[in-house]
Amino acid sequence: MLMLNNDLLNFNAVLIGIAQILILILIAPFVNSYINKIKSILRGQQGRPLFQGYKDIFKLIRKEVVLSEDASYISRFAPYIVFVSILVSACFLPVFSSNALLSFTGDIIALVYTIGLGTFFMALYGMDQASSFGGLGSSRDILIASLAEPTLMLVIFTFALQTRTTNISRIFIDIHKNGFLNYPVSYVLALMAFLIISVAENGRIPVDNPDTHLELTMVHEAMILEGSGRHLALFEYSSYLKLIIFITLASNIFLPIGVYGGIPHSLSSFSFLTILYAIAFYILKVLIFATPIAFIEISMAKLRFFRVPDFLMLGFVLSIISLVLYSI
Amino acid sequence: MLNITSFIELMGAFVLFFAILQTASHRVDFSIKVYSIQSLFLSITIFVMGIYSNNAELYLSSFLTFAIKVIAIPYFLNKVTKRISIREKIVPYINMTNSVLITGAITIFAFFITKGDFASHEFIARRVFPTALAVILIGVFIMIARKKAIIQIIGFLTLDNGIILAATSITKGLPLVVDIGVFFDVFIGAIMAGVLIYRIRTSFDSLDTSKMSNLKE
Repeated sequence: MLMLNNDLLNFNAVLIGIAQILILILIAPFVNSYINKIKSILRGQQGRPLFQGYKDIFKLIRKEVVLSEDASYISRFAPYIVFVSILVSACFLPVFSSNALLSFTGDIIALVYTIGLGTFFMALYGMDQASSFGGLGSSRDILIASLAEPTLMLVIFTFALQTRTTNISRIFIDIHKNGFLNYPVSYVLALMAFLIISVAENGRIPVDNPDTHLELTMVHEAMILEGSGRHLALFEYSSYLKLIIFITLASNIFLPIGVYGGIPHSLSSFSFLTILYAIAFYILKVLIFATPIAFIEISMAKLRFFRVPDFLMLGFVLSIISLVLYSI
Repeated sequence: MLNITSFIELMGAFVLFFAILQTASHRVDFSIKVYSIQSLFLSITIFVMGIYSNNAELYLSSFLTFAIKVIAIPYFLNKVTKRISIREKIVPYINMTNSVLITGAITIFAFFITKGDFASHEFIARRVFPTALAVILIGVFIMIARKKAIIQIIGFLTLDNGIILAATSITKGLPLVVDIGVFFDVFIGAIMAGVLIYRIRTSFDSLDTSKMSNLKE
């Protein structure tokens, strides 16, 4: 902890922290477009261009906001709270080096529950505008979120126990140093549990379809159905960022290779080239983890809503097994 | 970082994962697919064990696993399900959520009873045996918790995968004759069970084994 505080005083560490946030913000729309592109290619279509995500955001930002007459002040500031909460939780996250911007003030549990704040305000936004779809989407989303959260915490505790800390930078450094295969069974089951909850939390296909606006099935889209203009842009951007946060967590926990551990020790010999190398490696890892999502989406049908708890229960049981196997 | 023992254990863990996924499956074709992928990981596990212990018989065993369990048996089971056109879902005695919970308890139990000195150093990879034991118990659980005959067969095949995994991890490879005998046995068993399913279907109009005790006039 002392070392981290010293690092904080280091100007370079702060610079790296800011660079990490910028990288997350920059590649978030790209990853979403990348997943869509792979899905299109697998379907035999040409697909939208890879930079469509940025164009969508810019188009939406330029448009004006239309609010319902029944909307209260919540609708006016909820989009900002959602976006900022995702952004703050991104600040807790060490991306390609262990110098997270806010690592001195919060650990991995703070990260999870800061995202939870965003989920809460998005649900409020859905119910606020007196549209029947909004409330429907909110209730579904809260059900999914409340069932996915214990699994996420158990997966995190699995790795917190193995590395004996909840500080997210320390967890990542330890995993990168010791390798991930000290507990292979635990590792596989935690990976699968994390896959299940990432799909559930981000509203990807077996749980929710991000592409359709079919009233019977939509969850995330139902909540932001009334959103327009820059409010919608903020919601879209937060969902892109949420996906990239989950992918970053997965890629640093489950594929701990690369120059991650090397950077904090060589801060004195701060080299620009190392940083660039680390960033390139990080983006490669993100693409590796984004590809299976596209394959799952193309090969599975959306689950009936009342079967989603079964799906999440599978993730819960897998995470419990992976947690308990550590102590056996 | 990635030594070969860990890799064997990793592949064994995937076999266990697909056994757990099997209990969560709602549909017959999904169950067959899961069984096929599980057998693929079993085949990879045996192959890597062969590399580790430098035993040529294990390569053959791995190849047989691939040919029979990944290709032949799933192909045959798919054919049977198409022929009798099973449109119904899997009917369980114990519902899916509870089955998955019980499976979790079974897995933890299997690891608990095999901990300590029992796992001696003669094993190829220490954590493969508890994994295999868990797969065996899950197979038995699928056999007793499902009503449909075809899922009971898949439970039996899962159990067999677990036994093969346990046997190879303990003995560093069975003798070739025993190996071929076991594979042949399982293959013939699956075919006979398939024929039996067809007979059950024609005489009872359902694959539900709980209806077999009804008297027929």
